[in-house]
Amino acid sequence: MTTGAETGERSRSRGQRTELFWALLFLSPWLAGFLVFTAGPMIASLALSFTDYDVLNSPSWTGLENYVELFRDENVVQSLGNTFFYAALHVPLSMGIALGLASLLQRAGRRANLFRTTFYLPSITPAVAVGVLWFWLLNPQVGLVNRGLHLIGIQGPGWTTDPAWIKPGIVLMSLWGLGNTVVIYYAALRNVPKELNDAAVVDGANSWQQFRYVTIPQISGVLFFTLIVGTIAALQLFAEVYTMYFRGQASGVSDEARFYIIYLFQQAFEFFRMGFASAMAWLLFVIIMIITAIQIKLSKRWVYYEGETG
Amino acid sequence: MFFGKRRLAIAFLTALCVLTIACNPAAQDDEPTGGREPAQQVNPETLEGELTVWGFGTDDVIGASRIEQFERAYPNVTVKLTPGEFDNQKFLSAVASGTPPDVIHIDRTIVGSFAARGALIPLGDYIEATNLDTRIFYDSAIEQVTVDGSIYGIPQFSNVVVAIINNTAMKEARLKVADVDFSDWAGLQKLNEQLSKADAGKVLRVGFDAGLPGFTPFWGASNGGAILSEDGTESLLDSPEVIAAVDFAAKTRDPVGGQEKYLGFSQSWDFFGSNNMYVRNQVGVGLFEQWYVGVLGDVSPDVDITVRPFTTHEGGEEISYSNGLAWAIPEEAGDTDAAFEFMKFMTATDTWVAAAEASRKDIEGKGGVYTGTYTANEEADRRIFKEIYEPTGNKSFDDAVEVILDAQEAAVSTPPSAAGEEVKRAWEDAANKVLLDELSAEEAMMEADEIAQRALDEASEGQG
Repeated sequence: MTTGAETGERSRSRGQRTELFWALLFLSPWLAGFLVFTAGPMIASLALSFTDYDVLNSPSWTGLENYVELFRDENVVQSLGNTFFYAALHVPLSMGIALGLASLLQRAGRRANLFRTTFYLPSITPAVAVGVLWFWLLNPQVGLVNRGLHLIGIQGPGWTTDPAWIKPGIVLMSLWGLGNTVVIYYAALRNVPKELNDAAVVDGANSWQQFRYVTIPQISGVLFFTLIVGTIAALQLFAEVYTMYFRGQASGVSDEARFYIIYLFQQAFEFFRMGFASAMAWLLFVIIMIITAIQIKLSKRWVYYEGETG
Repeated sequence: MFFGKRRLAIAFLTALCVLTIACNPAAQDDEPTGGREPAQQVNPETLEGELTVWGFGTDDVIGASRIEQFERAYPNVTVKLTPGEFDNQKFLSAVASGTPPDVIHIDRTIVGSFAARGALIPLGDYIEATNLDTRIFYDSAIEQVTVDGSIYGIPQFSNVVVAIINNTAMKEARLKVADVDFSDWAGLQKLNEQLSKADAGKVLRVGFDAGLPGFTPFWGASNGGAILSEDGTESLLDSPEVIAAVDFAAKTRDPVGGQEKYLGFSQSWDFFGSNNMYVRNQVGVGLFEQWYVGVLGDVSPDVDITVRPFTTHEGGEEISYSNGLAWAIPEEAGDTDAAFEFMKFMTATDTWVAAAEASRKDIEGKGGVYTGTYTANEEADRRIFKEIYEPTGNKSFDDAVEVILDAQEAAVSTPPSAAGEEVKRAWEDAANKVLLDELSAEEAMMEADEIAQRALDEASEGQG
């Protein structure tokens, strides 16, 4: 004999199973894609990272040799250094400038749409075109950037020729595509409740205090998102720099522009060292995971989610 | 239960890893299939098939003309071209998935790397079966595609290095072309200083452009050295001849203020345009591959230049350096008979002569100067310059022809090696470090030698 409670529980669990079935069914296209095109290749690259593999012949097991070499290869260290330098400059600069532009957009009134489109347009320029364009813009002798600096009495540096200025030049180029972030920040700024700022004004807060203590906490979730995504993208920079310095003939300054993914690409597809390149990919994966974990840990101190209490 | 799930996951991952490696079509059979029996004689009329060709396009008249000729001669063979530069990444992916193209058009420096890894079919049997006489090709070109005595590619063009002298700049500096002596390095540096021009920190003219880092092997050869041993297994980048040559060639950037200034200036040149650096008087004397003379004739026929051969440092004998592309058949290609016929036809003397005729008509039709078509086929070159080319009356370009043909004869090349790209990257990086004053020539070339030798050793271990 079954009680009413048991019958209710059974029908609820049947309902949950049906719900799970339908959920999985609808998720299955994405799951299949993820398994075949993301998880599968990732696991394959993990396996290959323990082998000597040139694609043209069978992989041969080498154990941890590739990982040991990662720490011995000076180019790995240098390319990581180049990449960190770029990320450390690009991420805060792009966030700061994008936030500044988004704030200006907020005050632009009816013309905001025009400016928003203008800011966003460069983000849809293909990476290769950006690389070619900026290689010209940054030319020390005839480039528009140095010509502009000359007009205000500044002798521009050798953005594409002086090893000390190659990476800052690349950072400058990267700011070209921050329209995406501007649009995200603009949407976040528009969602900040007006009453909060009004209350702050009543309490005697000036513009900076309103921005610092009302706006920033209110959009901190979005800032955190762009920080994570921006950092990951910065650590994986490839196409623009490859186009500028590594396509065709030797550029003459390759060391300073050799970013981690570029070196990985060279190892895999120029030198046929797919095993070593796979180990490099996994090292970057671990680095990104660590940086992201640190950012998530630190976010508890400054990111505010309205739905959360306490 | 937890351990059960974890074990299951580990077992799944292991199985997936094994499967990943085992499923790689390229990994399944290491035995080259180059032993396939080639057809003895092929009838162009009856040969059928579809050829996929990577790394070759018809955007220039010489390429388009030869493809048209092939399609006329072999009406039942369809050629599917993938234009643009040959893409290693795409090729390796295709090989890994077991679907390589039938013919590839690749840089000769990479033939050794592919051949050593069993990615190319040795062509000896096909050459023999079809009676292709490989003596029609320049020695330097055929050497670059010969690995351990077997030919793996059919050379296409042969690009050789010559010196292009800007007569306007020479006159400005009150110098005579006859005084340019490439064997006298001190004199060459003096000439470089006289021809170089700068104003308020801005470079206006490079006196002598030595072509570093790209011409590092050529500089080594001109000083009696070589970057690799003849069998391609030993790096000679640290040899005294190569070090001294790189040291001198790097110093030729000094009169314009060093490599940074040079790059800032040279990156602004309109290299392929009618405002190129010879028209704008931005180069005094420069080392270029001979095809650049053709570009000048095409876009700026009135430019006043003299083309001269380069010479060895010791003895002052003519020397040049050959490089270029080659046709090859990947392992596991579909129809190797048709593929070889295609390669043979595209590099045949008659095909080249007809293409040269089409090129001449095209250039002259546009008002340019036809400066000849230089191929890797010596017999074709002889016929082109006898039957197609006609002196134009423009001394600059007419005199250049003899110089370039002689340069083909005097050209040396780097032997193929199993680590061609890594060796190239090693000397390029080293030359850059010398140019940027980061290392002395000796330090940089010693470092490059170590890197190159390690790559060569690893590649030859991989072969074993």
